[in-house]
Amino acid sequence: MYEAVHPPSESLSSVTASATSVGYDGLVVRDGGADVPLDGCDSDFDIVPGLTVDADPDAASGRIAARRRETTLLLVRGGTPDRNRFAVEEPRVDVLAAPTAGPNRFPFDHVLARAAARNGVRVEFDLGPVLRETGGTRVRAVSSLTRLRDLVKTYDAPHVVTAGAGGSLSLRGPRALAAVGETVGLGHDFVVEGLREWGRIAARNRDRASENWVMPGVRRGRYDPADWADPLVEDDS
Amino acid sequence: MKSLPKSRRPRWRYLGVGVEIALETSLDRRALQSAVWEAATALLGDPGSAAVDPTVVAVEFSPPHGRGMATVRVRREAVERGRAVLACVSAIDGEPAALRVRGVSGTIQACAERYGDG
Repeated sequence: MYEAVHPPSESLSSVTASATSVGYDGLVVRDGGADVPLDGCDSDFDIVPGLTVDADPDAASGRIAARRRETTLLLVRGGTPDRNRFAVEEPRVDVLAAPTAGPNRFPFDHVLARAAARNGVRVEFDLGPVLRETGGTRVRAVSSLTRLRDLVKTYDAPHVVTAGAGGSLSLRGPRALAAVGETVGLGHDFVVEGLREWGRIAARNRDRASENWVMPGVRRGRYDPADWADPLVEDDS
Repeated sequence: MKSLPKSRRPRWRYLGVGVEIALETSLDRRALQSAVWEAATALLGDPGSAAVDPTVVAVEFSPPHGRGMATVRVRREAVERGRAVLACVSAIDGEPAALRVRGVSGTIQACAERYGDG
């Protein structure tokens, strides 16, 4: 399972050590792209470089085009109806981050959920406010998450789950996140599935970035059935 | 008062919990207990916290490393809710902290032996 973290203020190696101890196979660093410093990190631990585009739709389109090739994972920060709509209608986007973070009315609806399912854009569920906020802020966060979950489930849109950690102290393990998800009404399996999804997107994007990939279903080179094993299917053996 | 027959007594589970906090002094059991209760009432409400009944039984903490181990007792039926409560503790006495469940045992001794630092 993977988790996504903001670029930590401490060294990345201490965050990866904590992540390994709580049971993650890898971490997505949400910003920094290929410039993420990997000094001291365990080479067996997978670190996935990501970039977050935080801009209104007019500016975001150009930035996505420029950054798509630079990074394995591309996230677009939502929060308003316009931003959310732009992100879910853009197939080059991997993850719509913080879709309900804005101060406005609930900025996600069934039209956006359908578009996210059509374009394969993962909708992010950030458990950070549930873990770290209190009072009304947390109540609103829980209410937004359950409302978003209903839409995402109804229209079968893909999703990812994170705790929005910015350091080793705010990192929580997969079982802890699943327990919190179950308690606030998201469901244990929904959270586990969302944590696995980070690894699946990373595997898919790395496969696409490899030399032999031409387009979906087309590869360069001699035919070998082993090459056609679906990287998105986890090997349980 | 007569003690309850064994089959009627409440059943407990003991969570071995790793504590990470940047503290120069030792970690007080009461401080940890109040942080856990606060997180429990905020997440589950008063009836929910009473059903989980998270109680800090023991704390071992070495200040230079900022790491330690605590044993937290919860009701047997409420281990997962107890896990959620501990995940929601983000500060102890105002200091940023993390509580990570290392494992679950049926007795305090087994918990300390399996998940303790020593």
